[in-house]
Amino acid sequence: MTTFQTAILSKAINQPEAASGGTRAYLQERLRNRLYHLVIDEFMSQQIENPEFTQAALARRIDKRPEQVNRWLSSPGNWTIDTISDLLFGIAGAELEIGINYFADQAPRNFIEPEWLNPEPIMHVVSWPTSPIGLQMFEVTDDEITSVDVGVLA
Amino acid sequence: MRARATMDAFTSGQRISVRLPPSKNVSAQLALLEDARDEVWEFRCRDPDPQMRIFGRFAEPDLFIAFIKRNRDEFKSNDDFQPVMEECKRHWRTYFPSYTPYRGSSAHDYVSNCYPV
Repeated sequence: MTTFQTAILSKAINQPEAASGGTRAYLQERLRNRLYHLVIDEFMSQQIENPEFTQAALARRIDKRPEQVNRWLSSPGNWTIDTISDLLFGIAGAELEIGINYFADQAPRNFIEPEWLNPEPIMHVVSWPTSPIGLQMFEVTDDEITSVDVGVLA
Repeated sequence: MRARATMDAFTSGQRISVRLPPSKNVSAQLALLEDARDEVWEFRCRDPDPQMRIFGRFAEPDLFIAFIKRNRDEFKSNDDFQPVMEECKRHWRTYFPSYTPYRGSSAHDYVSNCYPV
């Protein structure tokens, strides 16, 4: 399966200044998704072994309301550590294994995308009758116009 | 960036929750919009506000073509989704005039690693 590359991480780890909110949000969401994947995979495995193991049965096992369990299992959320512990124990009698993955130890990845995803923008130049003449350039794509550069002609 | 993480979860084959009508689950990460015959889907990036929606169609199992992104707060009612769905279909006809979008009958038909909700 094709995987979307995460070049932003290799760019971010060596910067001395504070990590951008975007990078941190990406990592936070990625962790949520991974935990969700882990828990749901385990839940579905248990259901295959025992078709009577439903969300309601899980709710009874961990003493939670069924609608609460349904909400937890419907999408990745901002689960607490206690929630993860309850879910893994309730689903599989298991606990989370802890480890750290250092980005700096990973090989850099190549990010490749088809050219049609980034079509060459059409460049427009607009000049004003001033002296010196100011040039404003715009990148025009299908859905946006972005000011990209301001030049000055002497 | 949270939206990108959600798309990464899909492209890297992690399990995602998928909703097909008649389910009305509001938490699913990926949902087939009604009318289901239009085969227009939305990825839902629910956190933080404003929530984001990414609209597209499936070309084949596990191959989602994303066309449009919008903030959720642009949609005040269900009727507001109709123009975006039409726009999505228009993009499809532009890029893939000879192909119809993939059509399945269950969540697993569209996403191999899914959790139907």
